[in-house]
Amino acid sequence: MRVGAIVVLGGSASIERPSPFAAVAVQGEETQERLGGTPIAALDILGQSAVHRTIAYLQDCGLQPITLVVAEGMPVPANLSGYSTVPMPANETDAIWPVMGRVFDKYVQAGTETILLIRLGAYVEFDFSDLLQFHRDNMQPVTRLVDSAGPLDFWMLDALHCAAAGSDSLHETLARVKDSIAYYDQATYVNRLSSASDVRHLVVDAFSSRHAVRPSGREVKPGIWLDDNANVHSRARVAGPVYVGRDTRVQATALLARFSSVERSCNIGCGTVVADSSILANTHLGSWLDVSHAVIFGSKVAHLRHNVTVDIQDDRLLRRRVSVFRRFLPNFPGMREN
Amino acid sequence: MVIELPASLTTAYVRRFLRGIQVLLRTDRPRIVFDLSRVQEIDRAGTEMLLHCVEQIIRQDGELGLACVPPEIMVVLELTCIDRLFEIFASNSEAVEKLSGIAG
Repeated sequence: MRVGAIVVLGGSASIERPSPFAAVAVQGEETQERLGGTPIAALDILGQSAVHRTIAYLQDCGLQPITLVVAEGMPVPANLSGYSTVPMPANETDAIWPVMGRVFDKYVQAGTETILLIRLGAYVEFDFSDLLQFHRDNMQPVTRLVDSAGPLDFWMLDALHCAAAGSDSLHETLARVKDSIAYYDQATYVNRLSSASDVRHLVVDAFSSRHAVRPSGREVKPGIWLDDNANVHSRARVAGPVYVGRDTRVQATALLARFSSVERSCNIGCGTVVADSSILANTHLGSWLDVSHAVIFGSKVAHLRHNVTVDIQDDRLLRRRVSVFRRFLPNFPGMREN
Repeated sequence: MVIELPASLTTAYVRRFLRGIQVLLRTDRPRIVFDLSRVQEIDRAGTEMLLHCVEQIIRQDGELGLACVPPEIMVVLELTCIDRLFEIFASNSEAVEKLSGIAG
């Protein structure tokens, strides 16, 4: 049986009813499921994004074809092949449906019998074989994943049955079969990635081995992972579990501790303490700072205890790093700022 | 004495504010509470102003407390480790009571 996947990232999901997609509040840059305007599922966490991990898992399960439907300007997984991408306009509400519909129709014409439709969204770990068997056993045209917090945007569709529903759009097709949905509640791990707090949960759960995510790079000492070209000064202190990302520099007398993650291409200044926090990619942290219980992305601090996000305008404290290449060769092929 | 800080503790306003309280900072054993309830933004000039004030007050054998600090400002104070130099109170009355007790 041929099983394909359509993975959707970014764009504005419709919040009109009856959209089968969970509502995504859109209120400016810091929306649900986004940080700094970027879907959390597209951000590197412990060296890889949720979309990368999801596509890699689907490939391991033998799904083919796999199509990533991605809003224009969104980052796509680097160092991962074997899937195709289809762009959709970034700022048009409901643009998602016609694009997905076209991909769906192509799959049906190519003979794909079962289609896994995923909107990222949540990071979900599940046993694909078990899901497929559940779907077949229930003989419903649609199976949807759910957990204790409610339905997830993970759907398994019987392609021919859905195509025969007789509507012109995928959105309408799903609406027509909504009374014929089987619900699968056996996902092994769910993180909705809807806020900075969820980012921290994902990191802490990874260090605690509560799910399959493992930091990229090498575990150089128990609980301390360094990714490629990570540079930790000999007089810096690292008290694991901690992850240091690719091309990141940790300066002298800095301290990283307590389930902290520092993603790629960051700089941690002298004497700065990072504890129980995540520093997202391309962030420059100045010297002698104290970062605790926070997620930092660019110039913004999402503080989880005070429950606020603060934009720090002082470049000497923190700022977003721009790569040298990007500064001088903005159109260099393959260079993508994310 | 409780002094309400302005909404903006930035370069543009700090100098004027400091000029206004210089006399107070030079009194003998001052007991001052900065009320930050109106503060909406603070930059490096603002944090340095706070450091300058606490330094001056300590020289005069005084006490300086911060009260009603909004969470956004608290994030900045913690980030720059300045929060460790002050006693921080939830309310002006609590601050006044504590600092008055210190004065005996």
